Amino acid sequence: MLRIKDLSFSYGKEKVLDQIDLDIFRHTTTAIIGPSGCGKTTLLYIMAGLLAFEKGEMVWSIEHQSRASRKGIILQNYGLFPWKTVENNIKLGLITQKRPKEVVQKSVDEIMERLNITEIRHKYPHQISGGQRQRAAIGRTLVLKPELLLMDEASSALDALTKETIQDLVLEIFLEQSMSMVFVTHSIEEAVFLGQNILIMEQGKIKEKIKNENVGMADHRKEASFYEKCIEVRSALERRTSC
Amino acid sequence: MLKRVARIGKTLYGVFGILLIWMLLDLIIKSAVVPAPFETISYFVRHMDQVLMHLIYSFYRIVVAISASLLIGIPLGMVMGLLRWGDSILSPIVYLAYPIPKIAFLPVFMILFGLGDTSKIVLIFSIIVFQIMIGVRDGIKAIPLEVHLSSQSLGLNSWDKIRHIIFPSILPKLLSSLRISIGIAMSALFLGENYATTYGIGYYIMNNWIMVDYLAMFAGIVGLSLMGLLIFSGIDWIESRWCRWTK
Ligand SMILES: Nc1ncnc2c1ncn2[C@@H]1O[C@H](COP(=O)(O)OP(=O)(O)OP(=O)(O)O)[C@@H](O)[C@H]1O
Ligand SMILES: [Mg+2]
Repeated sequence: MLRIKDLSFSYGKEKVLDQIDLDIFRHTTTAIIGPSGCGKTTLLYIMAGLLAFEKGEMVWSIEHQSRASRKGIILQNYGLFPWKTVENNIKLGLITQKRPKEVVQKSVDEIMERLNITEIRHKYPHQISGGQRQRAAIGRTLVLKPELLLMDEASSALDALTKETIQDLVLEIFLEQSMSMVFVTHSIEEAVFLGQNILIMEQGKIKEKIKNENVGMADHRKEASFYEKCIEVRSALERRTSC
Repeated sequence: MLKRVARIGKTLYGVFGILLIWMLLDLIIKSAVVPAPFETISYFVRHMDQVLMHLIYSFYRIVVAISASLLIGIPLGMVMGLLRWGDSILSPIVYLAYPIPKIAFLPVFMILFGLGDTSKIVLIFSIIVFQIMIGVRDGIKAIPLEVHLSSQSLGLNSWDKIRHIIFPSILPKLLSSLRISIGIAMSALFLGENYATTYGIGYYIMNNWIMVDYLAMFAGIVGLSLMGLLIFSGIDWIESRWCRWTK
């Protein structure tokens, strides 16, 4: 659904992305992992259309061309609007699409129920916890039913259990909706749990692509194959940083 | 409910505090210049119609000046905050004009805009408008990058962005700029009302001073304070309704 060819990007003189080649296929998940500053966020912004690239190609092939927001992004620090309640944050995208009021309310109620944030719907972002903030940000993006969901280190600031609950939730939603997902993470476990394709990035290049067939397997985290994959990704990461 | 009780409690405390200080001053100074509080209040109540008429003139001038300042200051501040060329064209002018004591221009305003209400309104306007422009610009500049990015990715058009992103983010700064400038504007109006008018609370106070009617003068001061309180409560009210997230 998205093909990136020979794409480069720089901030001034500093080359941040260097000849990226990448295919995102329909209904797949892709994890991007790599050391801090290697250009993960930048790549995601380019895919989201928030940054213009200088060189290369980015080609979309999407069925519902008419759909207003084909891609949705969840930012590294969520970017919730401080002056809107959780509910109104989630609502905004739909309101500006001029949908009928009842339809908007119904979708918003459903997604809040789903993400278990109905009780905090009237709170402002500064009044809720990091995990709740993240779920609000996920809700704000998912309510627009994007075909490609982009997530930037969504759960890095959360405790281990909250992190896993959110991973489970994201996986569940992914499996039931026809959606593709690209997410940036610093956690090897998260990459292996959610990523059917795992991209190892370093200094603006994609150094390695690892396939991971077991996403969605029951009790995945307790399987030996999970740990094997984790070790594979870890050694790939170490291989890169050691040279 | 509890909050409201607390707020009323605070106001009452303020009123009693001031009355107490006033009474002490009256006792210590023992001069007719500081009349006793209860005498003053009773005078104020008995001559309510007169004081009120002068207050209404002043209030009208202030409200018109505030509205004009908002009408012109908000768009200009937005141009400064949103457009790079807007900032480089307007900011130098604003920075130079802002610290000049505008009251010094009262004679100029009176020559240009006549002796009537207009020159007084222009005077207050010239005090408030720069503060508003700066407040709006700073409010816009303080919007974090992520907020811009997420509004872009949600597909907001320019009008939605102004309504849902820009406007709420400038409102708190706008209101505090207004609070700061209104104090200054009221003292300027007080001075301005001593020229070429026989209406306005400034005229009333100074005129009674000349006539050595200290009781009436103090009733005027009480009226002026009440008007200030009213305007400030109005701003507080707007803030509590439209800036809930800042609590
Ligand atoms: N606005 C900017 N202006 C100039 N340079 C930038 C800007 N944003 C990022 N960079 C640079 O681009 C490089 C890549 O940044 P990016 O945010 O994509 O890294 P990242 O892989 O997401 O890192 P992290 O894991 O810490 O989030 C960094 O070296 C950074 O210094
Ligand atoms: Mg990043």
